[in-house]
Amino acid sequence: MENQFFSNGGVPPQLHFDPSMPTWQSPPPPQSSEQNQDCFYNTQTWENSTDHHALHFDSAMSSMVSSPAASNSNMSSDNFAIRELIGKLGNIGGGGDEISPGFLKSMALNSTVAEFSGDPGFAARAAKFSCIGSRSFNGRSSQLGLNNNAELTQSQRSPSLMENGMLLPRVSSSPSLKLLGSQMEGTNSQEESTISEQKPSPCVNSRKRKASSRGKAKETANSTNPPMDAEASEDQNAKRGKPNEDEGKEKNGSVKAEEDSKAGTSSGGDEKQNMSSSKPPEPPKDYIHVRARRGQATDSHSLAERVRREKISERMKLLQDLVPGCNKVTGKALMLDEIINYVQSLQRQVEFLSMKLSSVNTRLDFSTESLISKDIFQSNNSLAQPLFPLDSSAQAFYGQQPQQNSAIHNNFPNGTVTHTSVDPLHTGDLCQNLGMQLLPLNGINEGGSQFPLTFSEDDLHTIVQMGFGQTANRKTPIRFQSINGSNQVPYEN
Amino acid sequence: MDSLQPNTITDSETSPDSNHKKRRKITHPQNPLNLMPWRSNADQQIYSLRLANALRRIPRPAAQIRDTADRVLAATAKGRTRWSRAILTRRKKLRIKKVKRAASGLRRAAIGRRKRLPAVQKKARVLGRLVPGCRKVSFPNLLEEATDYISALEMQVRAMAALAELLSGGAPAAHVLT
Repeated sequence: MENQFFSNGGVPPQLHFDPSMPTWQSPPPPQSSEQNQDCFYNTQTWENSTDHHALHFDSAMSSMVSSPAASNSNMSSDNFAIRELIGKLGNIGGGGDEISPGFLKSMALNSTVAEFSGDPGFAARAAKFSCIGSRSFNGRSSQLGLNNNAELTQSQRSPSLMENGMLLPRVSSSPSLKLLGSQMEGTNSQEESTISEQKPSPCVNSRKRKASSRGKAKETANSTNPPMDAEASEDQNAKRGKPNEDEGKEKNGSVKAEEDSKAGTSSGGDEKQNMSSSKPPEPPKDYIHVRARRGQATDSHSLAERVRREKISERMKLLQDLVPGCNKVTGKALMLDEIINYVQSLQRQVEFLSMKLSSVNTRLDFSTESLISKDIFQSNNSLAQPLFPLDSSAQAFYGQQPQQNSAIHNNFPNGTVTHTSVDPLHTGDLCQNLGMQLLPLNGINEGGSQFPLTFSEDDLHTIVQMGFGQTANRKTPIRFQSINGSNQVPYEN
Repeated sequence: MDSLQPNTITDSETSPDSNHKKRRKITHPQNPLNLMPWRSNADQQIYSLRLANALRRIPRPAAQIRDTADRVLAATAKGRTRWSRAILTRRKKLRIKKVKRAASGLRRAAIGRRKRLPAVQKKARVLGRLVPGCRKVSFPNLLEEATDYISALEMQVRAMAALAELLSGGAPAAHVLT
């Protein structure tokens, strides 16, 4: 039944709301089935959960939009109301105290939705969302009457839950909370208000179902819907770190001890275990969850703690991708071990290479200065060739092997600077160097040693490979070949 | 990203040898960290060029090469990261002092063993010591700095290896770039 509403009512009005929403629409449809709820829910990453929460919220919003629209056939006003509601959601952070007056409006909205859908859970969801946007409904409570107590209780829970979620940022008892509050209100409030306006509208239908499916994978649709909606709404409001917190809180609602302990210290392993363990054992009673969450949500420390944990886990994931061999390792301590080892090995490699470079440089010193300048010119020129326009004299210098040059640098047009990051200043600087070096080199090379030419080819190959051969394979350390006499004939390529 | 503040880097690079110990001013605003720049070819080539220029100018002591390489790396980072700024502003004397302080701190910690040193925090401190300038940085920021530092180190290793290959004439193997 709700699905019907989604398919019919939600899409048309929201299409014009936000063009970016189509992207959100893609994930919800697959989630529609009830069977996918659990797996989808359990496999959610924190980032996905954030999106889904927003999606849930959107779906709930869409349901609200669709239902009043269908019932009252007053789409414009309802959509406008919903828009305001959504807009207000962004400002929830600053206006939490208005939730209680908006509570009545939520009741009114609940009645409207309920009479339309006949689904108490649906009504509860709508109530919860209406509670979120209580301020927007201040002038719109006329049409709705109160409904049964179940909705009331649900709506009571949702605003309180949202209240907690939204009020907490404003509670500046702790600096972290201040940070949260600032995040919510200062930086993101305006964006949230605008984004929230757009977000819920387009993907309302699928969101709604998604919210219901995702939110409480454990339970029936009815019981799951309201908390998910509240959660989604909260996430919508928080929009950044908070959604994850809310979801995590919701999941951990039954495990109060975890929440309490989290307020204090937290070790990486424990956190992850808590997260993972809290996910499966979600009790069937969402309302109890809500209560528990509310109790925990009021703990400002847990919110801040969760934000902190999310940040840390985010960064650890990035590091995991970066450090080879970290995929099999789980837990902060072991990963940190790997990271430390890797950093140390990289630094040792740098030391080794610097020693090698110094030895190469000193050996070059023994030769004539021209040779040194040639080498440097080689390295500079070969390095510079992809980046800078080839000097005419340099072209003459490399005239003996223009084919290779052009073949190698087919991607680098000789007359252009290929890399946009190389700005004219760099170009000018290095061109000066090239110019300085070219004059003596031209004079010297007319003597006819093949050394620089082959060097150039090798250099070109090297540089080209260096430029093109960049892969993410960091496992193999650089092979250090034995240093042959640099003055000897270079190798064939 | 390297083109953000070319003036500072170029000026310092083209100045005489004394610039190796000279501070570089960082004038650009703080941008969010982006790991991809360190993996790009352009960055590696720019770094190689700068390193080659710098190496050309220094009077050949081996001990300076590592510092020069680090400085050039930090310069290439354009000071967006904490570790790059720390590298650019550090001096040899200060480093010695820091090493001494760290050693004494270790001894004190070993003597006064406290339970308030979970393994994660200990490792975080070790990592903070490894990443320059990140000793007293919060854990999430430390992870971020470490991420960028690891990417930069990898790029540095690649560029220096290629440069060493070039200068030593072992060109054919240089194109095997990991």
